[in-house]
Amino acid sequence: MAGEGNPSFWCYQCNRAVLPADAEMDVKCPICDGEFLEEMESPVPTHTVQTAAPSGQTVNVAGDEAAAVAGRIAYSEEGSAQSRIGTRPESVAGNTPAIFQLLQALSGVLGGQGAGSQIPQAGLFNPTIVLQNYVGEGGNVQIVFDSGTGVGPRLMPGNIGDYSFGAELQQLIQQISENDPNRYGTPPAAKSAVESLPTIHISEEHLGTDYAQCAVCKDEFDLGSEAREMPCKHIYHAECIFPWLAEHSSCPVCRHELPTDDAEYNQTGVQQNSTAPASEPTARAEGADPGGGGVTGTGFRIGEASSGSDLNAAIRGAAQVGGRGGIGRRVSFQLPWPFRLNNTASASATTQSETFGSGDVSHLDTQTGSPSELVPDSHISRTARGSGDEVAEEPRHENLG
Amino acid sequence: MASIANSNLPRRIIKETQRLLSEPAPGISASPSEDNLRYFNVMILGPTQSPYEGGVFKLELFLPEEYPMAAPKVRFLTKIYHPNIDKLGRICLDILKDKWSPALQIRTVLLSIQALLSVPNPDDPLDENIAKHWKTNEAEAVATAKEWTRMYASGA
Repeated sequence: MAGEGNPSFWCYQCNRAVLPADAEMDVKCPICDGEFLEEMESPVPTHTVQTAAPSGQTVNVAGDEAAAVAGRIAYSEEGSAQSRIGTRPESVAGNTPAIFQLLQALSGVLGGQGAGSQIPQAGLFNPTIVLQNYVGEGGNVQIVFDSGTGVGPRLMPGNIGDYSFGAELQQLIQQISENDPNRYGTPPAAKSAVESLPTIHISEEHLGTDYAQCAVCKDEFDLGSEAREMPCKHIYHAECIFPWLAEHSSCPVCRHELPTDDAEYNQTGVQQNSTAPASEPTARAEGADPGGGGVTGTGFRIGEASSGSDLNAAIRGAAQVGGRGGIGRRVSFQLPWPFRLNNTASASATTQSETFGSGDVSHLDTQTGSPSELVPDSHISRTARGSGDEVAEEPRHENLG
Repeated sequence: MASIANSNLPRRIIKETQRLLSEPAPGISASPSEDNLRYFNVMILGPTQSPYEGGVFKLELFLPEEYPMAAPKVRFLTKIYHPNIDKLGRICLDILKDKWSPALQIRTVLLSIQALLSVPNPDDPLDENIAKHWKTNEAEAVATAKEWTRMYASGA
């Protein structure tokens, strides 16, 4: 690598790759000023990262990209503002949330899809935007780690087994994303929609029915007291439903969705809907579920059946179809709705289950009891979904008691 | 649980706890820790006619501050061979994730987990190896699950 581009050096004092100010004249670590540096060889590609674009095209990225990703992930906890991993000046660890660092790392992979893309160019890529583009097309991000041999490049000192890949990476992402429960599910309901929910007064008719109890606080309504009514006719105390709608647009009981202020979420839903083929009776039946909840199915059917209400499922559906049949490990990242917001520093990724390269791509959610099945609600149209139904039976009955 | 009424727990949690203790769901017990009333020690009996029959599975359940606006956190403490439960005991169940709803509660969550034991879903695996096992040789996988039940969940 010497003599071309930006030569990197390994500082044995800082134990990291550094980029001396003037490599020709004075080889010093810019961080510790030490001279115990070793010029880094051109890394041997040992691991291939593939990003599968929605169209199905697969992009191979050189091994040093993968290594850089690993390096950045590996070093994400130690950063200071000066910390540089490899030659990426934008790689600033430190106070950045771990998940965002992970995204930055991913963006390096995604950004490397141009021919001959070298590491420094990855700095041009904003992870949010990159991921946005992928999600905008209903695509997914996949990283495939072929089982490589040999010593990893210098950017990733040590054994590749020491780093989080495959299932571990998936778990790591899951763990990180789980720290914020509000990342799950639907986006917040539109304020206007929430404010316009009619206020009703509890009458005798309400009492003695399924509607006698607020499903959120589990308290009985008092006769004559006020409650808010959703378009699906489910009623709640205002103080119970508002906090939920501030985070999610769905009815707690039946998952009927209020409009959201997230135009892209709404729009993507429409797109998903409009592309649904008519020749999918099962999918149609599921789409007809008023809540759109508990949507399940296999492969594309999930996305197409989601009646625009479950983007995650839609993405998942698409994710399972694209780029299969490869070898090695494959991690599918499900990108939840926050990704589609511009400049969302708090973006996060939840992971999807790992699929096997040549394995079955069907992806049946364990819908073992969405609220529509767990909560007494006679007008939910329940759909036949094989084992999922049996699973849901018991909880549902239990709750009726 | 004399202290429960005096704590500053949300009323809903108090109600749920009292009902869990007074009317436990069949095959399920959940009791709050004395130190932390948001932390529950849970036991689930393996459903009949499942590979987990006869097993007593311990779990932990924690109600986060946001509960019920956020799902409880639940994890198996007893080792279990199941495609949707990983070696750390974490459970792949949609209602614990994106399908959570505040209309759900501890009881329904635990019943769903119990139901998941009856109907393993290798198509949505959390543990890829177990799922693969399940799909390629279900009889053998079930045998392993029974063996693990006998070894780790024999009601000690």
